[in-house]
Amino acid sequence: MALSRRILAVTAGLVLVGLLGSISLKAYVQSISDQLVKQGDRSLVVDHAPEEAEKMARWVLRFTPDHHDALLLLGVSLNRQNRYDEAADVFETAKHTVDFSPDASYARAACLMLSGRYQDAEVELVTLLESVPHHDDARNLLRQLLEKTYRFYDAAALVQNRFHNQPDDLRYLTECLKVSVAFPLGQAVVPELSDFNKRHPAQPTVIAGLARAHWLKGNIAESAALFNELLKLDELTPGQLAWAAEFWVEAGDIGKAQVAAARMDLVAKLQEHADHVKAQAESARASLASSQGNFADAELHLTRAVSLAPDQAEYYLRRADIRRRLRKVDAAIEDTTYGKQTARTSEELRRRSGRIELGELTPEICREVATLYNQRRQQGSQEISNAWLELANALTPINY
Amino acid sequence: MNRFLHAIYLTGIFLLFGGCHSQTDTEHIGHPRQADSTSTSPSNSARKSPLTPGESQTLQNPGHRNQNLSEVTFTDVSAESGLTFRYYGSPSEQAYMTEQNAGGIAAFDYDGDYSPDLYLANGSHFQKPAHKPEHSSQLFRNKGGCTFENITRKAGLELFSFGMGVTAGDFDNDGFCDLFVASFNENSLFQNQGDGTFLNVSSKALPSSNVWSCSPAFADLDGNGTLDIYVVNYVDWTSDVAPCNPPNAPHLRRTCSPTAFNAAADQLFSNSGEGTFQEVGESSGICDTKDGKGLALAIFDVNNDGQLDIYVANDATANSLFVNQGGFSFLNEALRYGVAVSEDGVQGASMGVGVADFNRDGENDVLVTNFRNQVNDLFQSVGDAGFVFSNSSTGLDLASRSKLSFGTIFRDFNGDSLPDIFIANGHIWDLTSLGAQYDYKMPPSLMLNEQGRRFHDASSEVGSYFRKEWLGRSATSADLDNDGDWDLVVQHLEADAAVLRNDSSIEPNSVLVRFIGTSSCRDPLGCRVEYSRDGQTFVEHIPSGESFQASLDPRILIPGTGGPNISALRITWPNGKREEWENIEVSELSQLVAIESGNVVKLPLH
Repeated sequence: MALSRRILAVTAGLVLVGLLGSISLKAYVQSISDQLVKQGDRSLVVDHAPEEAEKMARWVLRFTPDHHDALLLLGVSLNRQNRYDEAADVFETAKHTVDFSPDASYARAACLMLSGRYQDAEVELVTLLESVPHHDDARNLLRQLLEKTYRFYDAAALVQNRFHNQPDDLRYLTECLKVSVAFPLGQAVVPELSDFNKRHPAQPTVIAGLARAHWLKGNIAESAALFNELLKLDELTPGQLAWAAEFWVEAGDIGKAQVAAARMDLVAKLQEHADHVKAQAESARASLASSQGNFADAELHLTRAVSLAPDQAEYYLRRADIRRRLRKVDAAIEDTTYGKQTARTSEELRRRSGRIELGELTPEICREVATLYNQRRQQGSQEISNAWLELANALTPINY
Repeated sequence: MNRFLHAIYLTGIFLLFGGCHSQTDTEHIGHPRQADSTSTSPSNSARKSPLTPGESQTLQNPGHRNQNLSEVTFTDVSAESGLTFRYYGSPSEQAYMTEQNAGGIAAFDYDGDYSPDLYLANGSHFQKPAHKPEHSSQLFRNKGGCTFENITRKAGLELFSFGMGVTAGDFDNDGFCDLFVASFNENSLFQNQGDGTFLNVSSKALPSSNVWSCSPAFADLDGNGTLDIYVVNYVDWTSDVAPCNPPNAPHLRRTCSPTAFNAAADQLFSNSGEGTFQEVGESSGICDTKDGKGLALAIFDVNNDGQLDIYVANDATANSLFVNQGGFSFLNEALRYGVAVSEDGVQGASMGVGVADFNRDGENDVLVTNFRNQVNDLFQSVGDAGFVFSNSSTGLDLASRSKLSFGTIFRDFNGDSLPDIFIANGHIWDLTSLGAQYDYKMPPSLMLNEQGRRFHDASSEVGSYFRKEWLGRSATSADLDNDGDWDLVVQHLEADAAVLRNDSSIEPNSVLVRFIGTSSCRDPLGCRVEYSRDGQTFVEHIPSGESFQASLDPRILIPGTGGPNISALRITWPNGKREEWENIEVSELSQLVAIESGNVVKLPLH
């Protein structure tokens, strides 16, 4: 009995020692592993030696195959060596070593995109965003993926939807308006803006944007109602009033156009605005003068518009029209020629787009297209320019 | 580790991607007042409107019959008409550029019965060339009442080619309408033998051609009494060019854009008068415009100098206006006339052309159809100063912004003497898998003219055809049933051609007028016509080219909006000679034939 107790005690002691040893060994290995991973991280980031980092990570993984950080290190080091498929596989493994790893999921999607596996990348990002809807980096990457696969509208909608859960966030409004300007034919944005307008009435920016979206879509009645609503408000910008004046000239209600233009003049005098807003106001005044047969005044206003925004082809072409009515044919030809030259960027864009279609998709061409879009004043051009720059970057060989 | 995680996100940042024939049973009813042989100076490019200021005030009292614009009705009679036609070769997996245009349509009277017959050009495919009878271009004989009989083989008109545009005209002045078919790398001239058959005289009469031709048109451009041929060519493209679908997007169907290719120079064939044509494009000045990627044209007298000018709608390049300097010499004055580029200075992707005096000011205006997101351009004539944009003021920009438009007919559909607009719409790229905002098939447009000031989009009100979506391409108009209104025929991709009968109620004394030259060419295509009725004078022209790859009924339709008397009927013949007939009594729906230096003859309508 005593012997039994002794054996039991010894055994218990041994188990205890073994357990303690094991814990100690595990802690030791974990400690070394962490150190190695840190060393690998240093090799990767400071020494720019992804091969060294890979070695470190693999060494750790020999002993602790489920070491999450080691797997992440290995994945990144492989990615830095342009071994995207291998890296994606490693990140896949890393995803399963913990309950949920947004970092591994995001990194895998990035590698899949780099290896051209867009569909897989899209699945990965959508899955990630289902779990972490506010993962802004993942959402941004998905937007880039959508643009890369020519789904520009979806891309814009994605950005817009970023704030779906905060529909009253001003950023959401901004994104909605961006979509309405960049994609005037988009069907989705009008209901979005309409809803916003119901929740937050008497917001000039929303009403003017919505009115213009309806105008561009040909919904004259809706647009007229909104412009009427807009004109009841107090604090309007000259740009918003210019839209209203132009709309009423086109809709044939000169009286309302005059009211809008008069307010526009008043506001413009009181406030300082950018040249392109002033040019827009002059253009609205020209429309009104022209609709009343006062072509000389219309010419004057358009001359001001041209001097304020000499890079806007539209003003030259409109002045050419007026000058033809005034029988100033030579001046009209000159304006048309200037306008055509000013719109030259469009030709250049088409030419480059043509080269791209024939397979000459190079970073240089993408940057040229980006620059050309950047030179244009139309709203939305800046975003398109950015997208082309991003494409150029993506096509540039990456040296980490 | 924070730094390490940062590295992963840096990876993300690096990923930032980014017309013809004599007729029995006739009645002489009009008499020539004068044969005023006042040929104008070829070098005179100033506009001379024959209308007095008072006459041009028609807008104040346009003489409307239809107070309710929605009275216009088109009935789709394709099924019962006997016209069964579907363009062959499109779509295909390869999405070749040649697939996007479909074939043209010519409305012309091939058998001299004064009822318009129809010829529809068909396509082919590089891997599966057209060979079956239904793959051939087709001739449909008008049996009356909007019914047709396919007589292609009997008429000797079987043609297996990548058919594009078609034009009809009596090039040999024998009284029988001939046919020119433009195709990819091959053009064909068919001489009407007068016995119901045609003879392919291409190899004998035409220089060989291996360019992509789209729209041809007959007109007497040098005023020598014979019809010449202007052929609008597109781009230098071959079937060897790799498909242009975006990489990684196999679900899309997208043909190459013309921006990727050099323009193919247009051609001008001078008629020797002895059954042969000589290419004079290079010497005429039409080739000075190096970058015109042409799809459509209209030949008419832009500056009223008695000489025919040529307007060419180019795709993604500036449009051309070749002003006739006389002696087969032309000068591109599109910029001077303000018809080269769109309202924003951009060179539009233009597909179709229509010509009509929409505001009844005595000057012909020009309508150009453009790509989606580019509004259609309505160039309103302001006399000798050229043209100004009327897109916004007429409401056309809103109606066209979301459409990719091809063939257009700029004619009066509701008998109010004001030209209305029909447009065949449909995209060239199927991007529907990218989202609902990308339209492929589109409904056609019918815009009714409201007192020459605005156009009312009546598309949803004028018939079931207009409420469906199509890949509309070429369109022509003709009074197929000779009932005094313009009917429509439209070619589609991926659907049968449609015959749309105009069932609008028409005043009983409407008149169809055909002009026949004697010392001038027999078909005075493109020439300016004026008529005075009920104290008002209207300007018309005999269409040459127009629409997209099409040839329109060459008759003039005078609606019966006024009294029974047409006080004056005038034409400027291609040689610049002006002729007028006075006091033509018309008490019933009639067809008149005005013969150069002769009488106006009344024919029964059947």
